[in-house]
Formats: sequence, C-alpha cells, structure tokens
Amino acid sequence: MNNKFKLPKIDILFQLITFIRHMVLPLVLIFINTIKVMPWWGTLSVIGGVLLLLLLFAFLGWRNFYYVFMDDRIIIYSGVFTKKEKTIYYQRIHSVNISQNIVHRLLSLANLSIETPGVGMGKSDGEIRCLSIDKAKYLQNLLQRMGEASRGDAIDKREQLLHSIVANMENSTSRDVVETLHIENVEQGHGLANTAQSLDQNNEHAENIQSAATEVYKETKPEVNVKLDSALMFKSAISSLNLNIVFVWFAGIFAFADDILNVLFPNSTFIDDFFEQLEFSESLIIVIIVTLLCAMVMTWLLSVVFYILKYFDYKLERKGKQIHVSYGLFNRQAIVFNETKVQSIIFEENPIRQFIGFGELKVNIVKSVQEDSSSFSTHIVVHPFIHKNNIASYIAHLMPKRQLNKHEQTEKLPRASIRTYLLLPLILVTVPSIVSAIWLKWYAFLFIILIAIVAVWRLYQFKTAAFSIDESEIKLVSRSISRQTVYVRRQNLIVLSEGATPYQRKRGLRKISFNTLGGLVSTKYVLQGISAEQMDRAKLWLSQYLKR
Amino acid sequence: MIQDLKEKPDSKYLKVIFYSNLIFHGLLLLLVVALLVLSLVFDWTLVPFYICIGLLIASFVIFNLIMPKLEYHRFSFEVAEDQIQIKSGVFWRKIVLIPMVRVQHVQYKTGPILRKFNLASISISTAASQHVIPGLPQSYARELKDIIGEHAKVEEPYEQ
Repeated sequence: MNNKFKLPKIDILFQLITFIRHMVLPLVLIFINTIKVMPWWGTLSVIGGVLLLLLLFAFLGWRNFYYVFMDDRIIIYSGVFTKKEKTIYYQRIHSVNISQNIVHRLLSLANLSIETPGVGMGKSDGEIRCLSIDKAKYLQNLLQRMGEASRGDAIDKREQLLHSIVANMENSTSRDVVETLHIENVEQGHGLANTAQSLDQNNEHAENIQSAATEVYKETKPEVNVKLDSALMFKSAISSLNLNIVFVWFAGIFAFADDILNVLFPNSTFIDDFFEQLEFSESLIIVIIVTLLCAMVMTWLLSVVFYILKYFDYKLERKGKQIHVSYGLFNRQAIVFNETKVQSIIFEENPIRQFIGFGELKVNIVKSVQEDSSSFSTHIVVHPFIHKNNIASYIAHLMPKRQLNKHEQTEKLPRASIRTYLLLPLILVTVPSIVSAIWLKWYAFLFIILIAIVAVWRLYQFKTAAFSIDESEIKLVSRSISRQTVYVRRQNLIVLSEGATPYQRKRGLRKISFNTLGGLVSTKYVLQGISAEQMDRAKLWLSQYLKR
Repeated sequence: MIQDLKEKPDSKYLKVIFYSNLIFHGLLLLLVVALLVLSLVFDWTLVPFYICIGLLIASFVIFNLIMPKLEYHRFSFEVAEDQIQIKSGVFWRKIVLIPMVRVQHVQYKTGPILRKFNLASISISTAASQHVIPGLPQSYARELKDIIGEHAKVEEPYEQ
C-alpha cells in the first residue's frame, strides 16, 4: 500500500507568490538602487535572477514535501536545506482546520492544518497546503476520527479508516471523494456496528476491504445545527462592535490623510488657514460634536460590514463527538474539534448586546493563528448571538460532556479594590492632562471629559468583575470594553499564578491569573483585585484536585 | 504578608550573579572607555561620556549591589508531591502554582560561573510556560530534577 503523498504542483505557484509578497520591499529597493547605475536590462536581469531563485526555492520546497499516513500517526517531511520531519499522533490532534483565501476559493483549493499543542508562535507546522477542497474536507473528518479510534482499542476500525484515507487520497479525481462523502443516512455512533452488520448481510461488500473502508466514512446527520440566517445575521451584525478592526482601518486613514489631502488639493493652504481661523465658540463645539457623531456612525457601519464579511454563511454542526464550525466570505475557515479538547468557554457581551441581554459564545481550542486573521485570538465562535439565559442549555446540548456548572455564588470583588482599578489609570490621565491644559489653555475642558471617561470606564470594570468557584470549574468575569465571562475546568488549568503590588499586599488584595492551552503559546486569563481569601480558595481548589 | 516557602537557592548564587553582572558591566565599561578615547582623539564633546559613565555606575549599583539581594531574599520555592510553588518578585510579588501533572519536562542547566561554585539551575516546562529555579547545589539540583521527573510521570486524573 502506498501511503506517501505529495502536494499538488500548484503549490509551487502559491509558495512563489508568498515568497514574492515577503520580498516586495527588498525587490523594490534593488530596483531603485540598480536602475541608477545599470541600464534597464541589467536591472531587469537582476530582478529576474532573484525571481528565478525564489522559483527554485519554491520548487525544492515542493519536491521535498511529502506526508505519510501510519496507523497511529501522520509524518510530514519538509524543508529545503534543513530537512524537517514532523510526527503527529492522531490521538494528540486538538483540531483540524481548513482555511481558504479568495484565490483558493476560486480554484476550490484549501490549506489544511493539523493542530497540536506546544507548537508555539503563530503558524502551525502541521500544514498540508493546496489540497482540493473535497480532499481537505475528507481528511479533516477522517483525521479526527482516527484520533478517536486511537484512543480506544478499535484497531480494526483504525485500519479501515487508514485504508479509506489512502484509497481516497489516491483518487486523482475529486468526484469519487465527493460521492463517498454523500453516502448518507447512517447514524453516528452505530457507525461501525452498522457497517459490520451490513457487511454480514451483504456478501458482495464483505470481500472487499477497500469498499468496507470507504463505508466507514459516511455523511452523518448533524445532531446540533446552528445557521446564521439573515435575520440573526442582521441582528448580530448591527450589534457588533468590531472595534479593533475599525481602529486599524482608521489608523490607516489618518496615516495617509496628509498624502490624500495633498493629492486632492495640491498647493492649497486652505487647511492650514482653516486651523488658524479656528476660535473658541459655541459653533465650534457643535462642529466637534457633529464630527464625532459622524465618525461613530462610520465606525459602526464599518464594523457591520466587517462582521458580515467575517461571519458570512456561518454554520455550526455537531456530528458524533466532533463539532464543525465554518464561516467567512472571502477568507473561509472550517474548523473541526472534539468537545473534550475545549480548553475554556467564553461568553462575551459588548455594551450594546449586554443591554439587550445577548452575547457571543466562544470556546478556546488549540489552533494556530491564521496569517491573515484580524486577531491573535484562538477563540472559536460557537454561537454568534445567544441570550444569556440560554447559554447553559445550549452548551449542554452542544457539548454534553462539557456542561457548565451553575455558579450560584458568584462573588463581587472587595470594595478595597476600587482603588486598584481607579488609582493608576487616573494618575496616568490626570497628570498629562493638567500639564497640557496649562499649555493649551482652552482645550482643558476636553481633558476633563477624558478623565471622566476613564473614571467611569474603570469603575464599570470594577463593578463588572466577579469571581466564582463551583466544584470543578472556575468562573471569572472581567471587562475591557466588552464583558467577558470565562469558564475553565480544573483539568484544563495548567499554571495558576498569584500576584500582588505593594498596595494590593497592604490591603489584602491579589491578582489571579491562570493559563490554559490555546493561543500563541497559551491563553492567559487575568482578574485584578480579588481578595486574598478568594485567592487562597482558588489555590486550595486546585490542590484538592491534585491530591485525589 | 505572604509567607516564605520552604526552600531557597544556595546563598553562593548571589556571588554567581555578582560575577556574571560584573563581567557584563566590565564589557560595557570597555565600550565607555573606547568612547572616551575616541572623544579625546577626535576632540568631541565629553558630555556623552559623562552620561554613559553615570548610567553605568547607577546600573552597577542598582543591578549588581541592590536588586540581586532583594530578589534573592524574595525568592523561595517548594516542591511537593502534587505541585511546585515558586515565589518571586521584589515589588510586584508573584506566586506560581504548577500542578505536577502539568509538568512536561525538567531541564538541568549549568554555565561556567555556576559550575565554578558547584551550582546548577532547574528549569520546569509545562505546555504553556517555563519556570526556572536558579542556583541550587549541583547534587541537589540533580536530585530535584529526578524527583520532579518521577512525580510528573503520574497518570493524569481525568475529570468529567
């Protein structure tokens, strides 16, 4: 059985484009510097030489890349000069993700990444690029199933799965795979038993392992199915505050504003004149307020657009033990993970949604950060818009093995920690404000507003913060702008830390923080200003579990 | 007040920090002297030299004479059967609790200066983080490495 596979040749092209994208700046520099001293054909040949070198690298990268399926692991060989050999045991796989950018989508290709913990910064090193989307989906499913099979002693099943993987990878046309994908109506859970039964009854199939193997993999009916229909999409989009993306966008505009104005109004001084003529008057305040309002509306509209692009065609399905999530218009993501691999559950409400009682439900799983993703978070949305009273029942439905505890005794922070929240930020804002107010005179009233905003914001954070331990689960509520409620099981907690500043020590206050898997290296959850007694309880809670 | 934990690094570790910092500052001093020579040869202003030498002396006093003692004083640790606790930090004090079952590997490390004093460091890695207990006597460090390794082998209890 040949179970060694290579990437399709088109990967060379994609790699070349990636290399060129990383090399654009040096190439431009070469061009600018050489054009002065060389004739045009000299410059072109230098750049052509560099491109040829990159092409050679891309080709060698492709030639040295292959992967092998074993019965308990997959081995990926890669590297041009330093050869790498990455072994991934199926059992260790936390999630398998498919990502497609717009070009991939047009060519129906996809990158598949196999995620294991401890890889570290950024990119996954279990990546198989440029598979056809059908093969990628097929592998995504089967790799997870292999993991389940390795966990038990189902050696037969594992062999069958392996056969079926190899058989389907060998099919050069994706059509065959699609056909196997769409054999329907076998309930998950009975899967193997049913196959065995049908094998007994049906002698035609019994002789042929290959076809038996393909039968193991069947399209099962999802048990939980969430789709973002247009009404729900509309509601969640208009209540979304995708602030981080919008800020980046605005920063970009401001950075280019001068250049744009210069292009639009060359040689004109009217902007400078405008600022010189500014005088403090009531009409100016109105202008400022109107500008701010316009900016806010723009921000909001942009965040709606970004939200729709990001979560377009959001789908969540639970098939057997696996949870499938997919979303995105231009950059499409498809993630498959096992419910037991969920590290933490997060419920996030931005102020608008909190007001109407809704929020976004997310889980943290081990997953690398996509190159073109807008955030460094590895939180996967499992419901984009859910009422806070429905979370527990939804989780129970979605992940029966990972239910939420009740947390009836959620405690607020001690009053003494108000100062922890207020003191330092206020000093940081007030001192520069006073200095600038003395310098800039009438702008002072803006600084008063700023101080007020900071004070209200920090007080709000203090009021939101809460802490609870319920049997095997810890719950932290905190706020940056959105309120974030984190639920972590004791078994998923890796390191617990206690911190205290001199002031906090004096008042018997602590900072609690703990790490779970997931994220760039790990995900850290922090809550400032809990009481020393609460901290001790958290420590005791962790050690009790360890003593058992 | 947070109580100190049971164990501390060897007191000889202070000397190790002193010497390694001394070497570092010595190298910086060479650079500053080079600056002085250049300034005198090329007749530059001496202001940068004064600033550099001032900073160097301040850094020597703070990071070689004051901080190591405070840090050493505040550092303590405890290795129990089920968890490791490490306490550190001078102004912002911190306690880290590492459950034994989360330890992935233990590393025994020693450099030239540490070896001179028969000392070694232990570094403990989990899936998410890395923690160092510096300046233990070599024999004890080896023993501790084995102890942690042995405890960490325990089958992980699975809670559902």
